[in-house]
Parts: sequence; C-alpha cells; structure tokens
Amino acid sequence: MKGLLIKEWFVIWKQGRLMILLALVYSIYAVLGNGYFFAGFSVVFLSMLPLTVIGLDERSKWDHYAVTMPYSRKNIVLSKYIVTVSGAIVATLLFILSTIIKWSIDKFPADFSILMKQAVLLLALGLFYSTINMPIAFKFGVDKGRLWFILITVIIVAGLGSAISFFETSLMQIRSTIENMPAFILPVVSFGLLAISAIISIRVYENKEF
Amino acid sequence: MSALVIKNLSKSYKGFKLDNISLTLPKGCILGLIGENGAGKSTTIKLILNTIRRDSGSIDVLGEDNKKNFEEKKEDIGVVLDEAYFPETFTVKHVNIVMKNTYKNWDQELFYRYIEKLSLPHDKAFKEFSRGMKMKLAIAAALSHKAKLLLLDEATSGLDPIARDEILNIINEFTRDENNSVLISSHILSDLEKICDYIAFLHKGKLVFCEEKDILLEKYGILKCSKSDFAAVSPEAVKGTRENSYCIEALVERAKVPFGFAVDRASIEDIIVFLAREGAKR
Repeated sequence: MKGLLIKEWFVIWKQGRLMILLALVYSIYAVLGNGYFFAGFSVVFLSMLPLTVIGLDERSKWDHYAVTMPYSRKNIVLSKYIVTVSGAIVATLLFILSTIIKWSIDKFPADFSILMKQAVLLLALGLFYSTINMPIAFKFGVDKGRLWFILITVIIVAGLGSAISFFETSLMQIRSTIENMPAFILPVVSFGLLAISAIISIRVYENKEF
Repeated sequence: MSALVIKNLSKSYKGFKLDNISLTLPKGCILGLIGENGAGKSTTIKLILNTIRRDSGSIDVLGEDNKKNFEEKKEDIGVVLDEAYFPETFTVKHVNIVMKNTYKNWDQELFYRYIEKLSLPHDKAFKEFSRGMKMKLAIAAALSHKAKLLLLDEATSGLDPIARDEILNIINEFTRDENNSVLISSHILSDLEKICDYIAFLHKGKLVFCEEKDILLEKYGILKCSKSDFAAVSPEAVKGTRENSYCIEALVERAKVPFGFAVDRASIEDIIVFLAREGAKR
C-alpha cells in the first residue's frame, strides 16, 4: 500500500495545496479571533481531502489503472481512509496548537481537559463527514455522488433539527452533553462508525466494474 | 506452458454479449486481438485483468486462474490501457517513485533507459504531454517491472506513424526473451500484421478465428477474375466477395481454388475485411 499512499501524498501536495493552505489560514484566524468556529472550518477542509483525491482519480482515470496493479481493492479503499484519518488528526492538532497559542497570547489560564474534549469533538466531526460520504463516493463517484451528499446532509440536518425541537433541547445542551461524556466514548464511536463505513466502501469497491 | 488460456469465456451487457470465447497465447509469442470498435476487445482484456466479472468460462494467466492470488500475479503483468491514466500533475520522477513502491521488481535504471530512449521530458507534468508521449510513458512503466505478460489495449491508436513504429519495436524487443508474451488489441491491422505471431479476430462479440498469422497468410489469397471465370470456383473456396462491373475480387482458400487461377497474397487486413463483411451479410 506504500505506493498508493505516496501517490495520494503527491496528488494532495500538488492539487490539494489550496485546501491545506485554507486549513492553515483558518487555524491562524482561529488564534486571532474566535477559535472554535474557524478551527471547525479547518477540520472540514482537511476532511474533504480524500474526496478531493477520489474526484481527481476519477478525472485522470487513475482508479482504472490502479486496479490493474498488484493492489487488492481493499488496499485501494483503505489508502483513502488513511488519508481521511491523517487529515482529521492534522486538523485537530492544528486546533490544539492554535488554541494553546491563543491562550498564551491572551494570558488565559490553560484548561487542557476542556481543550481535549473540544479537540475530540472536532476530530469526530471531521471523521463523520468522511464516514457518511466515502461509501457514496466509491459507489457513485464524486460527481454523481454530489446529489446524494446533499440529500444525506439535508436528512441529517433535518433529523437533528426535528430531534432538537422534539426533545426541547438546544445545540448548546447537545454540546455540553457530549463534552460531559467520558472522554473515550466519542473517539470510540467515531472510529467505530468509520470502520463500518470502510467495510461498506470495500464491499462497494470490490463489486465495482472498471 | 501458455501465457494465457481462455476457455468458453462469456460476458453480457445490455445490448452486447462476448460470446463463448476460447483462445490461447503461447509463451514467447505476440497475439493480436483484432476487431471493430465494440467487438469485445477491451471487454476481453478487462476480463483477463479481472477488473470486470465474467459470466462463465475460465481464464488462466501465467498458469493460474485469474481469480486466485491475482494480486500477486499482477506483479508479472504489464498493462497499457487505451489511454495512460497517471494523475495530471505527475512527472516522470513521480511515476518512478510510485511504481518503485508498487512493484517488487521495479527496475529504476531500466525505466530511465526507456525514458531516454523514448525522449520523454523529465520535468514536464503529465497533463502537458501529447498523446504519444503519454502512451510512451505508460509503456515504459509497463516494461520496467520485469513483466512476463504484456497486455496492451489499443495502445497504438491515435498515434502518429513514427510513435507507433517506436512502440512496435519495443514490443518486438520485449518478446526476444522467450518467457515474455504479449496480447495487443488494435484496429490498426497493419501494426498487428507487422509484429504478431497469432491473430484472433473478434466480430460482434464472437471469435471468428484465432490462428497463427503465417498459416492465415498461407491459407487465404485474393482472387481477381471475371464473373464468368468465377463461376468455375467452388463456393466452398470462397470466403468473401467484392464485385464491380468489370470483375469480382474474392477472398479464397488457396487449396480449394482450381488449378490455373492466379491467386494473390492476401494481407491480414484483406482477410479481416472480407470475413467481417461476409459475416455481416449472414
């Protein structure tokens, strides 16, 4: 799989540089302004990297070529998930770093337990985006899958909205509930869902004809 | 041992069926897969590479069914598809690094020798390459991991005659090692006539024949004569005809033509065109 990961890196470095730059800009902006919101942007940008790579592969038809190489389809799919996890981790580290820098500039007393909980929440957010979208991208392609992405996002947002109004709760309450959960639950759930997503993507890709 | 053995291979799509194909590529030989667009050439190559699922039949590649341990077997297969599919920003250097980490037997020196031989630029991005340059890069990559079987799907189409000639020479050189074999699909018949030992002719998803090229050239000929003289030729000898107001031109089996008729050499193109037209009439 090493060759595939090197290829992903070359493609991201050459064609996804703008997204990495935007993630950095938002992280710097988070340090200067309101941290959490812009750090969230940075996570979303880096989480979109694997989908960008899948789209570029489709455009150059690299996927047609890769299946003729000595790689299993499972490894081809997993290489994209490794990019996802790496992107989400880098974005989360950027958030942690930017928050620590902001604290030291503002001479704010450091509270690492809150920071870790927020970081884990951001990591979960980044992974969730790919958890939902990657199987769709492998099934329909990034271009054709766009409608599905929109549809699923609408369903999630509408579902979340309905749940909030039904249970008469608020986003702040949800956030505080998540933040008050034991620290290990969210990462375990996020990576668990990502693993299920990877299994579905592998199944989809193994049945795909090129 | 044969490099490739296909038996009773079938695959159906809506509006197309690859129908019960059987062919063998002996080791050390070049087999040309000929057929019109949509005849089933690419489908056959995709089935060999297991990138699409067969409905029935069997495919043995380098002595093993292509459904067993095929990832490992792909180390020994060089593939050139109808277009080169490298990421657009890749340069020769990027291709080398990725391939070096993909194929166990990647030979960097050999790759760069091909790059020099084919006059490919080192620093230019792939998207700026001409079609000829792209295909040359794909061929250099396919030949640099000590493959024993080379599969080329329309690798020469759309290239200028000089680029085509360069590529055909490289393919020819590759089979100087008697362990190396090539399956090349094309609809440029003159290219295949130049280099192939065997010709397989696919027409509308069916295999019309798979035969040694020299046997085909020996077996068939072109007979040109008047309509009245043509009446003396047994219909069994005639495989296809073309008429004008002065004479008849026919593809014939030399051995079945009565003594006294002058039968000219038929090119592979003649044989294919006559047989395809005859097939269309039926």
